[in-house]
Amino acid sequence: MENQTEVGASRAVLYKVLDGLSSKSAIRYSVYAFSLVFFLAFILVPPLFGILFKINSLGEIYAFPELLNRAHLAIAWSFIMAFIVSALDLIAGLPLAWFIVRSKSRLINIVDTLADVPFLLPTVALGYSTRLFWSSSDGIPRFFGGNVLVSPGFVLVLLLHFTFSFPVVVRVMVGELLGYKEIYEFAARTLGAEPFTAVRTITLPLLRPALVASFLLSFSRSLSETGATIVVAGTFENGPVYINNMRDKGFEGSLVYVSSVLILASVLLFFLIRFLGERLRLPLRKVWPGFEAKLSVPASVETRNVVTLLVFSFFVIVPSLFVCLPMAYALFDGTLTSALTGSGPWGDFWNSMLLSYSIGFISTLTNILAGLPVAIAIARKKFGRATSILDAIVNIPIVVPSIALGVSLNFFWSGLRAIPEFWILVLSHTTITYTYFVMAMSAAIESIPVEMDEVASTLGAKPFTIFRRITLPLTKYSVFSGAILVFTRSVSETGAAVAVSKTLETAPVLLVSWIRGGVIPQSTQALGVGFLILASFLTLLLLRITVRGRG
Amino acid sequence: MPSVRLVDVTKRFGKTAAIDHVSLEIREGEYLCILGPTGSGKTTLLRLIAGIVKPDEGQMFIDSRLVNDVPAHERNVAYMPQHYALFPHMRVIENAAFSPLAQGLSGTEAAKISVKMLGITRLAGRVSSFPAELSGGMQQRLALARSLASRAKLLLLDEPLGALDARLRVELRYRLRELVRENNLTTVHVTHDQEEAMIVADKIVVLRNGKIQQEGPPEEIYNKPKNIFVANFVGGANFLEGFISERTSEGSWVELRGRLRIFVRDKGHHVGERVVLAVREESSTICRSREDEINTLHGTIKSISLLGDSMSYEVLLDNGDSLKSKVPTIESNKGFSIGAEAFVLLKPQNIWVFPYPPVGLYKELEAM
Amino acid sequence: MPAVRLVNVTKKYGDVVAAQNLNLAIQDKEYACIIGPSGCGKTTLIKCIAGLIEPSEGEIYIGEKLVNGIPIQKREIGYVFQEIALFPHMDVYDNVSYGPTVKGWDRIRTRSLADEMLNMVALRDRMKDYPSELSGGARQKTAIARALSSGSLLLLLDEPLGSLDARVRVVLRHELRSIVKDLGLTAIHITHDQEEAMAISDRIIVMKAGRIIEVGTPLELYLRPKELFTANFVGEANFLIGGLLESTESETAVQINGKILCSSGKLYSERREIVAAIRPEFVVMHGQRKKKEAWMGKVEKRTFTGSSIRYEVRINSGELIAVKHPATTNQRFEVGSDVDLTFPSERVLLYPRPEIGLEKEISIE
Repeated sequence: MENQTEVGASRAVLYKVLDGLSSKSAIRYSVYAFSLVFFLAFILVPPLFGILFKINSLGEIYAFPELLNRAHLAIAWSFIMAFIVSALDLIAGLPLAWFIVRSKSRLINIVDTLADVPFLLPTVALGYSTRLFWSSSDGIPRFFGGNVLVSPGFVLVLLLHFTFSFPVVVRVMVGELLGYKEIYEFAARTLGAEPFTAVRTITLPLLRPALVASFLLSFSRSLSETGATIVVAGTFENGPVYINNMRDKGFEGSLVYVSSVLILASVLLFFLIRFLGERLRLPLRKVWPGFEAKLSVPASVETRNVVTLLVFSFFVIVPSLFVCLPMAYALFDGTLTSALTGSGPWGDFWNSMLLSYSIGFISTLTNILAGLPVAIAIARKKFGRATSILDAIVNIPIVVPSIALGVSLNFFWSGLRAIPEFWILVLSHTTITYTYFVMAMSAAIESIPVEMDEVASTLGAKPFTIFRRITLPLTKYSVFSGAILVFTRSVSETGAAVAVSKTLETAPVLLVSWIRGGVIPQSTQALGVGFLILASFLTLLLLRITVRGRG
Repeated sequence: MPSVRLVDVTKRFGKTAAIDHVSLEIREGEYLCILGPTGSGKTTLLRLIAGIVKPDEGQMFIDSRLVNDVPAHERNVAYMPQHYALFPHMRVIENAAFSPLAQGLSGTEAAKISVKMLGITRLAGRVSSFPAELSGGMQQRLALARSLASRAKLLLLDEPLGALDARLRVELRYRLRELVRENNLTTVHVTHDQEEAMIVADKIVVLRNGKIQQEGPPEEIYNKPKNIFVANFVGGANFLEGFISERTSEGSWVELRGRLRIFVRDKGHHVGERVVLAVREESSTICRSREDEINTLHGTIKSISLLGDSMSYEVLLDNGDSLKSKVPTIESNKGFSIGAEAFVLLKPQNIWVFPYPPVGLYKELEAM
Repeated sequence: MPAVRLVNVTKKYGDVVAAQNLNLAIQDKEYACIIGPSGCGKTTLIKCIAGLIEPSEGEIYIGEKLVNGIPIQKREIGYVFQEIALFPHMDVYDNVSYGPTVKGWDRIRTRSLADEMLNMVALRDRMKDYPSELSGGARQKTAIARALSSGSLLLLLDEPLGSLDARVRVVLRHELRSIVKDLGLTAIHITHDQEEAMAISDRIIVMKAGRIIEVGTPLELYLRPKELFTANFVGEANFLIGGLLESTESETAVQINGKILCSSGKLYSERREIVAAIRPEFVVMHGQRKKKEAWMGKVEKRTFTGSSIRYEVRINSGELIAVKHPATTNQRFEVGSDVDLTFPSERVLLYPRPEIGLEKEISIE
């Protein structure tokens, strides 16, 4: 009957010891303190303050006015691009999220799965695929009788960023809509409001926090994105591209300058939007009953859905998956054999894949162990009122553009003492992904009513038992999907890797140099990218299977 | 069976005192109801006893042991929160066995206890179900079984019947009482339903804004309320404003609106003092013709409602005041109809006199 | 013309039948309460009328209009939710004036209607407060004012007092009825609280397991319930199983465990197995006088409930009878005392013994 609770004798002893330890508040608080210290020492401080080690080199850039101007332009473009992209993502993503949650169409499941694609593709693969689709003779340009429809540059970067931040908005809004109580809309409709009016005046204002959150996430992803951007940028320069160019040329001063500005500006902007977003008001007073009635008519809804789906397919899905075409060719033209034998460039490729995956594994494990206590501390407000500050600063690693973060972090650890490149790579990947895990876990723990912990406590359960028998089982899914998220993100990370890389190249970094180098043949590039995608999709599959298992 | 003692306990959230200098004693085996409106602090009081929150001031004793710093899992209490907090991922039997296992009992012993408790709460046929598959009444019984399986002898219930249908509540309150008695438990039961409290409790503590208004057995609270709040909250009453116009050796005369005079037995207030008279609806008798008795007031019937075993007549008196009279339904065939004239008789010994509240009568009554 | 009419309304969710063949007519300006245990279908019924759900079969008329398929916002009803559902981001005034605003009424008309409604619920001085700053009772009053300001003549209330404290419920329910009657509206109010229904409705509709069991005025359902379930659900009753002895024009005699019970009611059935029901407040109890027709027993339990005292009396032949006296009575019976019980024949109700058994028939779970 109680198979799960019959434990082996040694496990029982272990549990008893941990129970005993957990019931001492001194021990509990030192675990929280320790993980907090870890966060500050390894995650927060190096990226923010490493740049200070090189503050002297800032002088260099003032000697080169053109570089300085270029730097300012690049920074400005970063923010402008991020802003436009986030706005577009909201406008296109919200209707799709709506469709997924509210529509009764049979397409929902497909759309739901597909919506995740751009997020899970390694960004370098996304960039490559996008470039092939829009700017090569194999893609769309073919139908317009040319070689190029959209050449690498501002517009292509825009399209790319739009694509890859899109899933973020959809996921956040779907989550919010699922939890949203439709009763408010019903109440509005019983009072005579047409469905569209009800949504505009009631639902949207109530969804505001989620809208702000998705805007912010989209914004920071656009600011931060490096790998794909480099591939499609052409002569366009935003912050990360500039830093990469400067790194290639060895101009440390301009590197430091732009990195510092990016770090400072993104952190400030983050806090600004976070507090402003609460105070924004949306139009409630204006009502246009006739017009909105027309918008609510089933035919209008159908049209809206169709348009949404078309935009989604054409601008998001197809460009993302386009690389499958040349990859398929590459399978049959002999490239596959050389790939599998490891000949030529493939030797390096498999080495870098190994590197990427070992880094991924270590960072995931570290984040789980170090991040879990922090997640619990945030969810259960263990630090009292200071918890909301912690909740905010935990976001900083993903708010700061990863290449700038990598630059700063690199300076910190190299400046401190000679730490091997491998470990700096591990640290940078861990830092980038830390936030994802902590946020996902704390949200999951928060969703467990605190009464459950309280009741368990009064029933005699010590803190460790509560964690083992209540918290963990109820958040198992989140732990697992959080881990997958961290792992995928780590393997995909380009920006920070590019900043830290000296001799070691992770898979995305290698692929970027292949694509930009112009030496490696297209079929090899395509296949390399293909392998990377395949590996990521296997992880996606693993996630879906676990989800189904949970029902 | 444990006893509980609170000495001058205060608990603050921010600046407000949710529990304000409360002293309380609960004897072994006693069934105590903490009665009060939402926001009165009754849940906080329960959570203080359970050990989920710590008091800011004062001492708490369980069985003469000072427990201020004793964490919840060492207090040996069985706490049942308002919506039960059943563990959704565990089956009925696992929920029930949670406490014995957490306390270190072996699997077999835990199973034995849980099966016994599930039998007592009549859930033996649903051991493999999940909480979400049970009806409201069954979920409540599971929560009880889980609490009982902890073998704690102090049971703390937060609105245990609140989530149930009215009719089910009426049935289950007797069952709850029996269960507690059969298992020799000391019980603290929090509720906002005064009818429920009166039926199940040995002693009632009336709480308002964190302070105890009155404590005592149900009959005492009902028949001798100490203030307007208690008179209104427990059982409801008619309230009339006036002032003492005269004092005699037998009692006092009170002048109401429109110079209407009423005689009361109370002698505790001085002439000229502003007072509020309170009298229970069932002690305000409605009659067709003027009785030859003191305090027979004339008016017209404004509304009539059936309350089940009694009927309520609302009478608008000539002076503008309104009184409700409650009469057993079997005695109500006296041909009263809306608009008809009627007399309300108030026996002097049934009228309570309270000082006029500083915030005004309307606000005092509304404030609950 | 009835304000609301349901004709053969059925609602199925796959195999589960939430409501079966409902036929009902609510008269204009009537205050009707629908009562029944959880899951009886009352919520389904009211949601069908409002348009929140569409029936699987049958027609619904509001006034003369067939409303099947007509969207919620065009049905012209006021709806009060159990969860209250005030818009959290708007203050009291904006909530209450939402209806008129959204329908495009001009400012002045909106303002005057909102003011009037807020006055009726005595919340005009809380106009600028937000829902989170109000007490439960005030919030529900705001929701009522909001439902009323849409100007509709039909008010649907879904357990409107369910989330409120017991005492607040008792006070607010009367206010609810007064407002509805003052404005000349038709109200359909669903609740699981039969006391609430009895206190304020013109007519009560009793539902169980998706069907309408009985309809009647509060007094009818209380004094002469036609169904066993109603006898148990509306008020309290003692139930005794016995056999039909003899039946005349004026009286029916039933034999229960060797004792006789007489009822002035007729039993319209061929069954010889009977269930007799009598409410505790109608049982007459005296100190033991050894009267011939009286049932003799001992007081086993005594509970004070405020305005009344409830006794449980163990009859010598084994049955347990509940007896209720008003607390103001002079008689007092201690636990253990010997008593005589008599049952006035006009208060004894008779029913054929149900096929599925008594307990299942009257069960409220």
